[in-house]
Amino acid sequence: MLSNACVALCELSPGETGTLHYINLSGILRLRLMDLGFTHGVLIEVVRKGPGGRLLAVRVRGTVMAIRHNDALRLLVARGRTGTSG
Amino acid sequence: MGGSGIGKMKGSRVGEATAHGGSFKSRDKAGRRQIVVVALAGNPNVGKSTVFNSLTGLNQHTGNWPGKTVDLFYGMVEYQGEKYCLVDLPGTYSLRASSLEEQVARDFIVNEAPDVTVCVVDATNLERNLNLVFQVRDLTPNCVVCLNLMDEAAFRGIRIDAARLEQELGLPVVPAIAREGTGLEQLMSTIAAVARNTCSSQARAGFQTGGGTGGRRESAGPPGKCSSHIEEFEIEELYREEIEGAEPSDCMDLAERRIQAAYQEASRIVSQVASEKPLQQKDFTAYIDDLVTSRRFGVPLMLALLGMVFFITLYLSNYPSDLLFSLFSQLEGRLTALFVEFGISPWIHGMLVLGVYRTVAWVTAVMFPPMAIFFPIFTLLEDAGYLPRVAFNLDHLFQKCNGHGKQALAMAMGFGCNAAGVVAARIIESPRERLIAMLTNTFVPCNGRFPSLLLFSSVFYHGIRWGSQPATHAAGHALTSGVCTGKLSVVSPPELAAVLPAVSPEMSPAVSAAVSGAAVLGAISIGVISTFIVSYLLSKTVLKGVPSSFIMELPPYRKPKVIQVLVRAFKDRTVFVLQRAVWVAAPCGAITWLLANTWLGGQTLLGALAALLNPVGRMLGLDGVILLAFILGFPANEIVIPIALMAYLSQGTMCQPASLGAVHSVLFSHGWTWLTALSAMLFSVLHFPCGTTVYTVYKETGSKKWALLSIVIPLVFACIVLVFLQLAVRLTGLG
Repeated sequence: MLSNACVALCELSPGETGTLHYINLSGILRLRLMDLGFTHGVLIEVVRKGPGGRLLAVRVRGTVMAIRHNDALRLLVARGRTGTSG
Repeated sequence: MGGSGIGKMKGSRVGEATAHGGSFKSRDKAGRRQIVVVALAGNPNVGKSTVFNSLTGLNQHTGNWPGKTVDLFYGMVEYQGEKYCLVDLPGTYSLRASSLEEQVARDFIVNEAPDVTVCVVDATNLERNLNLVFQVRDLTPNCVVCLNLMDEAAFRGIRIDAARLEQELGLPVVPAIAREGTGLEQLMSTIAAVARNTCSSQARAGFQTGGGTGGRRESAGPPGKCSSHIEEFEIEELYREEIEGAEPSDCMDLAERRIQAAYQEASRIVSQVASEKPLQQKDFTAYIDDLVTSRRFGVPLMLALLGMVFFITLYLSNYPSDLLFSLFSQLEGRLTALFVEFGISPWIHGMLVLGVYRTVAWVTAVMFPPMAIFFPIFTLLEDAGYLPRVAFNLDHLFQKCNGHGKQALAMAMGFGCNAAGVVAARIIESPRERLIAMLTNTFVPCNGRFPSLLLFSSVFYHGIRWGSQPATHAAGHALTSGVCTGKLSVVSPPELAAVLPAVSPEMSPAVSAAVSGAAVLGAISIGVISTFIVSYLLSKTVLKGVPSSFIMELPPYRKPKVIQVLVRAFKDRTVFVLQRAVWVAAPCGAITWLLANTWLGGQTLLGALAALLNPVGRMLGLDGVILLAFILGFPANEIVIPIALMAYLSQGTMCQPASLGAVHSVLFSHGWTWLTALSAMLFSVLHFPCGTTVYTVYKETGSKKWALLSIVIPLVFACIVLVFLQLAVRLTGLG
């Protein structure tokens, strides 16, 4: 599934949507993200970027979550609504 | 909110049940519990508190559950002749125990084995909420799902088939609109049914009554693919990995597969039970967020809002403060008359009335009105959902100093009370950033320090405007009262009332509130900048580490339930903080009075101590008296000014100052300059936290080391800043 089409979540501009393919994180943080609904194949929409540009607001499963640029760097998504949802 | 809930448990019925054996083991002869224990679990921002508040009304308490440092709210309800104890668990997304709150929620369900666990679920966001329902279902069979926010779901075009959901989950599901009270009667009857174990739901079949052996149950929950149950060892294993940086292990994979499966199951169920008509128009929350979190207007708007809150607080608290001061002073006259009538010795009168009573009166009159205004406004903002946006706007600054965006929320809480701010730091999942937030919280000036800051700022202003010549100053105001009162060396409350509201006697209240507001904002800015500096330094020294992740929900804005919020803010914050301050201030008043009235070789003990501290004070740009006042004010910052005045006046001047101008001349005649005032202001913002806050840090961390560091770090920082200020002033020749 990891194709050239995959980009880091933070590379999407506000309004763009991506399908989560890979979480390049480990340990508790990885589980936390997954618990919040960042599971493989889920649709993520970038809603806005924060005042410092170091924070992203993304919509996952109907909830808006703020996530740091550094963490968003490690979430690889395929642009658009490809893949399965859920 | 708050730190000292331990004592409250005793005396209540639940307290008796918990006091023995550390668990809900109070049962009747048949082995049943006398009180049905109902735990409320749920994601944050799903209206769980609304459900809890609506069911329990005002009959709530905070309790410190055995073995845990975290206070839980509980409330008693009587329904159809049975007594129910509702326990509000912390809002969590999961029970994986990766944060303190998750651990508390999970441990309560596992160890206390509540008779019924209610899962409050957001109907607009069923998919994510089901993840938690599955986890609760795995831990306890006696689970009820409360499908809250049905009105919001309907508004968004979401329809949920509750009967179908009940079938899919194998749990009773009660749709509700907790804000309006709809569905809560049915929720109670379902709880009662599950508690009696007569519930018709198929899921009940085959399960034993949740009697609660206190331990983990075997084979809990329907077996199968959606099990997200995590074993104890897995958690430990994960933490070990986290610490040692080891490769992900098998249990990690297992946990991951479980989450993945849980979400698959959740979206399958949602597709079965819910239908959504996608809305074309942008929702209300998005419109507000476009403005409030915009890159250009977000921060200025936030500052304007904060400034306005302070302005309103300071402006409105003038009048009730004056009223309280005059009330207390009348009462003091009556008390004194009583003491005279019964022929009680002047020493006892002095200690009790001039020491204890006056200090308590001062603290109440100074603190109560601003808190009664500040906390409700703050709680309203909190309830409406604005605070996460503050964290969102400020996180980039915290990132730069390796802190956590949610530290901003703990800081915001600290404006009310630093101890409450330290408690609020719990929402930060990472222990390292949580400690940073706790240790730096004192840099946010709390309500108790506002009065001192206001006084110092007005002295600073006058010092610059008129210079520090006492004669000029006194002449300029001509307000010093001529009434000399001999031995009475304590300033009485009504005269000091003038200190709080007015910056200058000739200013109108609005202007003076604006000037005060500006001064306080200045002090706050210094505090905030110091927070960033010290957070950065801490993260580079004692608390080294890479910044952990920051994930935070930005929940939709909701209309706060005003009455509930006001009552809650008043009861849990205002009264709680005031009560604590009064308890601390009373003995302090007695001690200070004794110190000020014990004569030792021509001077009072207070004076002698002040003289002893004078060299240190001078080095910092202060003097011995004010430094002593800060030290004696350790139990509660509110009493710094009364102590200082008591000390200055017992050093010779016998006149009672009759107004703010007179307080000024007392200070100026003891050698204060604008620089002393500025130094005192800085010291007030930066110095060690009050006793309650230190105790709270100790309770929250369970470590004397961190409690001690919470004193040492700010103190050292304050001294460095003040010494540099002195040097700078001397070098530039301003002083």
